[in-house]
Amino acid sequence: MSRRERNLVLARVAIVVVAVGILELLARLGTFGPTLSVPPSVMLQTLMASLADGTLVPDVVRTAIEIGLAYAIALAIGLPLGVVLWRSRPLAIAVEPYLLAYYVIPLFAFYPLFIKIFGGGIAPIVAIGVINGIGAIAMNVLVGLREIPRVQLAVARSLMLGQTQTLLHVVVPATIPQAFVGIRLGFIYSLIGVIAAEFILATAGVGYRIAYDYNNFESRSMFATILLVLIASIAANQALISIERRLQRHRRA
Amino acid sequence: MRVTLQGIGKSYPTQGGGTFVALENVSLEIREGEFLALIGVSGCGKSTLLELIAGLQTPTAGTIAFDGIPHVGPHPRVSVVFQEDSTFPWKTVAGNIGFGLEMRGADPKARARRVEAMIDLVGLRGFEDRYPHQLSGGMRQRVAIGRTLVLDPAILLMDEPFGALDEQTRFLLGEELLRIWRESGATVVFVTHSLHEAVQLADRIAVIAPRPGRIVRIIDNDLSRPRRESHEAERYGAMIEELRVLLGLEGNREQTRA
Repeated sequence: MSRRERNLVLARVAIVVVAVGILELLARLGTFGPTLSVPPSVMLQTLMASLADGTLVPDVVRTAIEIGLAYAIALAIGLPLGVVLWRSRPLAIAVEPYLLAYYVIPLFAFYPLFIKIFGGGIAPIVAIGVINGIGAIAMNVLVGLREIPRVQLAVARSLMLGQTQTLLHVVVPATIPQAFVGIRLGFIYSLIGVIAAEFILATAGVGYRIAYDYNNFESRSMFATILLVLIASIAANQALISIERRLQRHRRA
Repeated sequence: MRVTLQGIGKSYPTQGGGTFVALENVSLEIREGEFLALIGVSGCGKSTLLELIAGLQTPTAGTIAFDGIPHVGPHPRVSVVFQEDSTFPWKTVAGNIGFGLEMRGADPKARARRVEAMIDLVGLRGFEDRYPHQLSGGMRQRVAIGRTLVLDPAILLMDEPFGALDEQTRFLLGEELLRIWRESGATVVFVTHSLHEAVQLADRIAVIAPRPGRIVRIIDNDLSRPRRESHEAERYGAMIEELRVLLGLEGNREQTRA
């Protein structure tokens, strides 16, 4: 790492440290009123305690399962959907505007409908996570496939590769970097969908827990759980970004 | 291997319901082991003709035969080098060069040996483990040439392979191509729009005129190799001049030095 890069990393860390420091100070001074003035250090202590004594663990497990399920289903539908849209031009022309525009729909406003269709329990929550994730996955797979240079496919044809060979040795490696952008975004969108859905639909889970604490003026525990969600989602995103960088390292600038 | 084109035509339906004739009645005998240049202005159909020989497109009229045997589609002994960068960014130089052998299920040891030899032949020693994005355009084209030559093709089809490169690199790679051509004994069909490149490289130069694409003349190039403008200035100049006239570029000298 060059000196310049090191300084930039230091600056980034400094921003967080300063921001947390200011928040700590303001909270200790009681700036946000008696209920909401929870210093970050107390949030962290509360979080550690509730993880240690196991009170938060069932909610974390449940939310993790919901996210995992939602993401797996979103991948299982989104990846093949991208491929199908690539193979069928008329279908892509018909479907693409909807796929691009459906993030505009205030999905959560339809939650009564989700309960009606999927019943109680985790099903409607997972469904919202799935719907939230599919679009980014399918669109990025489609873009990745469309952007395969024609000449690379011509090489495959002139080498007389079979369909499976072309798919495995040309199409897939050529598409992976772009497709992975969708695979990463799909995870983030599924996660956001699940946690937000828990606020309104769930009887357990991390999102439910935050809403419950909020309604009962349990600010410490609420902020502790928000902190957990924040740490977990940033960590997951960073992990996925580092995989993405590895996959893209041989791409041209 | 010898290639016989008999009455080749290629036309496409246009959007307005008409027909666009890209090539019309092209007959040509490409001799075993020769270096043939196809020259013409942009859009004259020379690249289409190459893709037809490569089997990447199908003619709408006529037949293509290899050693007298009519053939449709890609042929295992015919390889193509494209104008655009066709290297695979996810593979190293050695991985790219060995790709065709790998796909054809060559024994890994034999493959490694042939790739090694090819790296020397195309002058990429020391760059085996680099990725294409770490190489210059000229070096990437060497990789593409190596990837096709390692398959020991009887016919090497090249579609303006140096078209995206600067003049100096183009000249040097041309000289190297001649060395490689002599060593491999393959038949080379080389599409270009550069008069000097055609004269520098080819045994015969087929001049293609546009709309519809057709061969208007085949010029035998018997200048002694290595060919330099300064060696046989008069004959070199005369040949360039003849091509210029055939291509309809007379009086417009600025465009001809590609």
